[in-house]
Amino acid sequence: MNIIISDLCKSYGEKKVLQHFNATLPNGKTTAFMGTSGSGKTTLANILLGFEQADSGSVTGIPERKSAVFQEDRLSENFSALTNVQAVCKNKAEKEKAKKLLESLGLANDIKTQVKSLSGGMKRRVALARALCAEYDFLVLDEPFKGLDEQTKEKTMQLVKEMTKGKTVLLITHDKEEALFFTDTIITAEE
Amino acid sequence: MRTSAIDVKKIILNTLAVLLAIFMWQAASLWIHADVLIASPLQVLRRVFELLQSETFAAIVLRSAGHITAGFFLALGCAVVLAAAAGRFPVLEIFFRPFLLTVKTVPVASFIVISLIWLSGNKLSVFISFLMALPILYNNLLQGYKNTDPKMLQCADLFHFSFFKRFLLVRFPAVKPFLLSACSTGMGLAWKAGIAAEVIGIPKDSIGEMLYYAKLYFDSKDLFAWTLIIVILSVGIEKLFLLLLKVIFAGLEKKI
Repeated sequence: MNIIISDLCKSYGEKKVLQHFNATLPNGKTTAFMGTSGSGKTTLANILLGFEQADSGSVTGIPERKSAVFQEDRLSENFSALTNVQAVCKNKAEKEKAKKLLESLGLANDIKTQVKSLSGGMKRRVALARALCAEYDFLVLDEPFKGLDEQTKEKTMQLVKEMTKGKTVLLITHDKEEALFFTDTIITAEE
Repeated sequence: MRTSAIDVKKIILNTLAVLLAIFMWQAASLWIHADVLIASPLQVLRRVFELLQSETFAAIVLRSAGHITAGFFLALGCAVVLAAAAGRFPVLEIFFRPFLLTVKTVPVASFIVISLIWLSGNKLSVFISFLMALPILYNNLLQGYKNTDPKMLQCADLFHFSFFKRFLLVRFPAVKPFLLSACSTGMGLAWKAGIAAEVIGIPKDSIGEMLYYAKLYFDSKDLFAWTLIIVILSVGIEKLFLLLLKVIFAGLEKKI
């Protein structure tokens, strides 16, 4: 089922963040959402994930099982990278998958390292691994490759593209090249 | 390398501070020159060793330490329950406030005297330690609960974390520093109040009883020696407990 966003409005006090915003996120496809800073990209993500209420308008077709990479990593800093990812796993097989995924993301040597000791780019990859390991029908990626060097970014993007094939994904980004790598369906905040 | 140099410097400074305090104590005892008013450090140390060798020492220390730590742990248990309830249902915080404010502001001596009407000297130190540690433990734990990052809570909701994972990955990291600080302060308070209760309630074979009789007979060597023992016990048990907490926390963090 497509996710249909109709006439969505959201303000914070006097500041209007989303104004009569309309979009359709096709089922099983990746949609990129682009816009400048403060254009309401994260607000839209928060509404779609159920963390915030829109002032008016509607959103239909959001599946029950959701996953996300947040703008901030939102990891438990005192725990290891593996523990953070395995926290979303339900069984042993999934936990094994989590380990392999971290290895694929170039974190083989840092699996047992406390998150607080990891670099920004490493934390980003842990957050990505967690989002991809969770069971989901709709995935929100809010600037998921922020802080990654070019080489790691390329590899990570390739892996994410493979792993999200056939899933409904909303990719929030500033980077047009990044958006085009994933999809032709690009919406902007102005729409 | 740099850290260890700083550590060595800190140890040296701390040792110097302790030596200076002992030197001033010794100087004061020489100047006053009356054992009955102020015993010298050496006399006190000698008396501590005599007490350590006495047959009743272990029983006295165990009884007092047992009562006071029991009161502290009761307070910790209650504080965890009350803080969790008040954190979950903020209206409860308002209802708890007058009780905790009363406990915090009423002088400990008043509580001791009032409690003596209902409680025996034995149970008094348990109750008073409990009462004095409870507000500080509750307030700190509640503060920690409120300090939980709401974004991490959203994250826990999104990924449908179980109660255990939610507690361990989200709540616990927020509460941990507050809990450690509260335990450190609460344990010290429990000892102070517990010993005060014993001095007034005079339960048989307790540290409080020893202090009471030392005061009664102007035996300042005993008074100072028992005070030193109380300080050592209080700090020792506090450090041991904090170490135990850290070990438990490390074990819990490996449980996922």
